[in-house]
Amino acid sequence: MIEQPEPLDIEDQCHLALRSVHAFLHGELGESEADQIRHHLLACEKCMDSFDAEEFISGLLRRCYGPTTAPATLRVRVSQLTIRWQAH
Amino acid sequence: MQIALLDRSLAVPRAGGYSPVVRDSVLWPAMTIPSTDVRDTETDAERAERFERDAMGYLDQLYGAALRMTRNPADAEDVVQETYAKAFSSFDQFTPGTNLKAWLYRILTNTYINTYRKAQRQPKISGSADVEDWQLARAASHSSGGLPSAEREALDKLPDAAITDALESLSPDFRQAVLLADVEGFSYKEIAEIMGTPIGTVMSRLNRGRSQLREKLGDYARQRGIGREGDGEDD
Repeated sequence: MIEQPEPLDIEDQCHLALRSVHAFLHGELGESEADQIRHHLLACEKCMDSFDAEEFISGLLRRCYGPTTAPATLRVRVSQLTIRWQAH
Repeated sequence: MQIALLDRSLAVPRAGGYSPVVRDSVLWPAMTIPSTDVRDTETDAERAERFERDAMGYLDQLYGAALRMTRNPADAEDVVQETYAKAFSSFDQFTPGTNLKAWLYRILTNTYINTYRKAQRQPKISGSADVEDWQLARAASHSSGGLPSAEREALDKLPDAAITDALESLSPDFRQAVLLADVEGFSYKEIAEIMGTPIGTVMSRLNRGRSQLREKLGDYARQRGIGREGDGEDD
């Protein structure tokens, strides 16, 4: 058994980890909170799998919605917005 | 132009965290931050050039975001053109050095909502309010209701259409939060500014949106037998 820094039981740790999964993966947690989750993930395979799946889904979304190129006609229309000013 | 929409509160606070309305000279010694604001000295033509130089670089990204919102190229072009028209006409209200991309996305989002979504009369937010986010996450991961055991493997086999269909079936606010975080890579603070909501709401929309997304992907995988042992599929 790994020594826990906090006297939370494993169930509570799972709750804590799972409610913060996205904030954790998006790098939005403070260091101490993130460390607490890293610590839990080492001890809980279910949560580790869950985090892994969520991160993978983020990657799928990035792949499915890759870079888009605006149509040339739109670029021209938008550029024209500023032209009469620049011609001053 | 609806310039009233675009007040200075749209601007993201500078690194110092103070309101952009407060003049630099009050809070910062001249040696730290130049006391001159380019807006105080530039001509209209120079401002137009600065807009062209700084804002045009986001055209592809804004068009992509508009396409995901409207799901229609013609509407996406109109939303983007209107966004740039509004942004240009109120560019003097954008504080140089703050987050231009987030400012443009905020205008894009408002333009889309005001022009398109109002007409559709979207029902307000799906999902029962009495279910905690962590319960949703837990249900998706720690019960048999989630994806098959070899979840990662199942996800890997899902076609792109399954993912885009699942995302597009989410309510607009959930979908937008997920796209801004996962595809556009904005921070939660930026998303809060773009969507005009507190950070707590951003997190709730993200958690719920992603939870629903995962559930839908699980349903899809189960229906097709993807990820099951011995499903016999090689690709």
